[in-house]
Amino acid sequence: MDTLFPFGLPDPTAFYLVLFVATLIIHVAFMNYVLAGTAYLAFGALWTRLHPAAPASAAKYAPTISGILTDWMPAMLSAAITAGVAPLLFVQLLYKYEFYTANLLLFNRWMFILPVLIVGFYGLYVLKSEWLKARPPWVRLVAALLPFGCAVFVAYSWTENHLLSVAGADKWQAFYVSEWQVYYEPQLIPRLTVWAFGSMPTLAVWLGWQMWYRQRAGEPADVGTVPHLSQFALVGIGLTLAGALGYYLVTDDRTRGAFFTNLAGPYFGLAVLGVLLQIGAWWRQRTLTAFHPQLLGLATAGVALTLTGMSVCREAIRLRELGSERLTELAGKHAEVLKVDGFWAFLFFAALNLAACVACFVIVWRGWKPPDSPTSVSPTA
Amino acid sequence: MEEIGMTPDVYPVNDFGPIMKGLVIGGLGIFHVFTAQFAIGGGMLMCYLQYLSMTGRSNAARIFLDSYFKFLVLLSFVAGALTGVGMWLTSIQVSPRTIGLMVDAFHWVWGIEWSFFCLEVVAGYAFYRYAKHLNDQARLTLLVLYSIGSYASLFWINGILSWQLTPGEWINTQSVWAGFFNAGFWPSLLYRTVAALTVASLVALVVVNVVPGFEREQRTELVQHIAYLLAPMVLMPVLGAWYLFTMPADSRGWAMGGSVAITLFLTIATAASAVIGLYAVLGLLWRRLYINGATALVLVFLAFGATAGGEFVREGVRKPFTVRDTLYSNSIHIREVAELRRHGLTERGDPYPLRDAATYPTDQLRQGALVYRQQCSACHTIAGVNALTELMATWTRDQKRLNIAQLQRTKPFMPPFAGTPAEVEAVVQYIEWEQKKRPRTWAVPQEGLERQALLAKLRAFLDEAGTEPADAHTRAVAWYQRGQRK
Repeated sequence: MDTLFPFGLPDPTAFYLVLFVATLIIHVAFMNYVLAGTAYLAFGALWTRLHPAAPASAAKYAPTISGILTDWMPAMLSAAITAGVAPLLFVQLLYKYEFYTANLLLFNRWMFILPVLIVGFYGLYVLKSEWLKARPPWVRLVAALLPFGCAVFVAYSWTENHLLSVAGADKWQAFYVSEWQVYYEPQLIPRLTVWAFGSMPTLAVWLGWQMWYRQRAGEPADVGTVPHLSQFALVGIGLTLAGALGYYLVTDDRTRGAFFTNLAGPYFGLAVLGVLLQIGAWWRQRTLTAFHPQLLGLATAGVALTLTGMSVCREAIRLRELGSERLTELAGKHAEVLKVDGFWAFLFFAALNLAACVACFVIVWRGWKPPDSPTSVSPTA
Repeated sequence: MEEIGMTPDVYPVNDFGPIMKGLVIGGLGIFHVFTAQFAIGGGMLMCYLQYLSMTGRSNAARIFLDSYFKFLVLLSFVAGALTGVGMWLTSIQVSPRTIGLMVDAFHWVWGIEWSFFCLEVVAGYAFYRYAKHLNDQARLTLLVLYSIGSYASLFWINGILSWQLTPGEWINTQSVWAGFFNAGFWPSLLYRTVAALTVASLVALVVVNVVPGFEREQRTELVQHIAYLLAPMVLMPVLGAWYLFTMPADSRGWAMGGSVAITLFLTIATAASAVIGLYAVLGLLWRRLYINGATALVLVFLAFGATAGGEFVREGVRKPFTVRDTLYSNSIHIREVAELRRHGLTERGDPYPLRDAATYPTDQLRQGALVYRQQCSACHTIAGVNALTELMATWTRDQKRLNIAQLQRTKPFMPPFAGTPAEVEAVVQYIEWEQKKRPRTWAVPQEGLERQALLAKLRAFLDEAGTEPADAHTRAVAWYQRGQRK
């Protein structure tokens, strides 16, 4: 456990851990769009409500970003949920007892994420509906706050579930007897803020590419959008670093130490490097009037490095909490599970379906009708 | 080699109050299955409508298709997808060991299913966002990809679900493919295919009446086209019979009269399907009748009832197992029973003490409550649905002792009692204490020779019944044990 991730771990454990971390990063990339995106829409609506007389400055850029967000949010939430199934599968293989125990202990409170997600999901469709545009301002405000509230609740619940899953048998027993369904420990909020504020620069990268694509397609760029998004990303990075400081202050040496082990230390370095790349890219981008693919590429690489580094550090903390004895026990189970057939079939179908997913984009690209073609047929035609 | 799913971990058990755990997972499961079938059949229906549209056979098909797809996205992509994740989380709440075994044994199959689900989502959203701007060939290709994704999801998940009832050679070989392509795989898949077409068509018949802007002739034309996809319902009796035939004899027996509840639900499912089928074949296909929105909606509710009945039967006939000849409904492995007869679950140590431990007048009652929690609470409540206090209301104490010790003889769909004589007595006392509304005082258990005699009697009851499931399973278990010896 004192060698660079994943090399010092038993092969089966390393294999499933790599798959878990890789799929988790993909999930987090989509999830960050939803979390930061709903926050942007909610605070945007709140700002408009509180400053109804002074929308002029915001009008330079907000419509573009808000328009993209409201348009894409349901699809991105769907993608986040779909991408979340894979790490949910692997976490059960890796830490079955711990994960299931946390689920069971949180019981109704945990299960509540399902109706909340459904409400939030439908709320996103309401946000992009024509119906909402004709409603009074306070209704529009509530409609914007609702998905954000749902996203925060789900984010809080996952953090809570994760921390409880590594809390250990003594805390589990005490928690079970207490009949509480809300778990709290001091590191919960700082930890949540690191991940939540960290979603802002990820969203900025997503939005940057979306706006660059529109720019490339000839759509007029709004003045001020580029610096606004750059500032959004930089503020997000700043808040994330502040959250990280808070996290550092409330955690114990054992947890802090996990970042500097041979297992995770280099990955923590990658995460820091990623942050520096993002700062550099957005700092340069903010002075420009259009999105530059090279700078967006740099920021994207920075986000990828940070997400990868932090995801590995997250696992390093968990492995440290579980301890070597439990890890040895788990490694035996992972070795048994790895004997199960089907990996090659999975790989084959995963590759096939990935190709089919790419084909969907190609089909849309190539199947686009010329502008003079009728876009629809009248029902009475 | 440690067998998959043989983890000795004890999980915390939650009290669902008066609600039976099976009702929670059943309720969510029925809704999820219904929306999933809608999504699967919807894909095939939309391919058909797109084909009609682009070959000039139906002018209205294109407009209808876009409206129907929005409906499908709003229902299936949101509620359907999330209840799918919900099924996973609910399964953990009800039986973590069962879902753990399923994940361990079929994680790559689940991975394959997930990859097809990704395709379904990507193709679906691509169509949802861009269909209006695409040429006919691109629209059809996206719909075909969407249909492949959604149908393949059914294909792969069906193998895991049918494995639970008919695991076949998997028990001996642990081979994924032997378990996946089990005896129930094909009839179950084909039956669900017809059900998916039926659900999607019936919802489409509602939507035809709801979407504004159509002339009556156009609605009639659409109804007649959609009705063709109800035609496969004529195969349902054959497919249903085939599925019943592949069930183990005892499971089939529950459905065919052995269990009143399961037979009743099978009858409801059959009757509801028959009404829909007759209406579809005689009314829509033969007489070419029009169907209004209200009637179509009634048929959708009937289809929901049929789905609910069918899923109840599918879950019910597995009793006393969650995975046939492997894991009992109370999450005790079939091979653990003999050991638990020597050293009971409560004696082995439950890390989670009773939450209301102080309210029990005696240690024996506390032990009984733990036995109830570990062995009974998966399917029963104390005073709610399927309540033990009600089920045993007329039994004498000795009757309780005998019937609990010989549980698999008392009711053949019950698992054998997996505990010691002392645990039998403890749970008997606990149930009586609950029947008497939890009095503050309770008789301290006998000591000395009297107690020894009682425990010896209970031991004799237990030994007489054996550690295997009811007689109907004996042959399968012997076959399983032969496999283990190899």
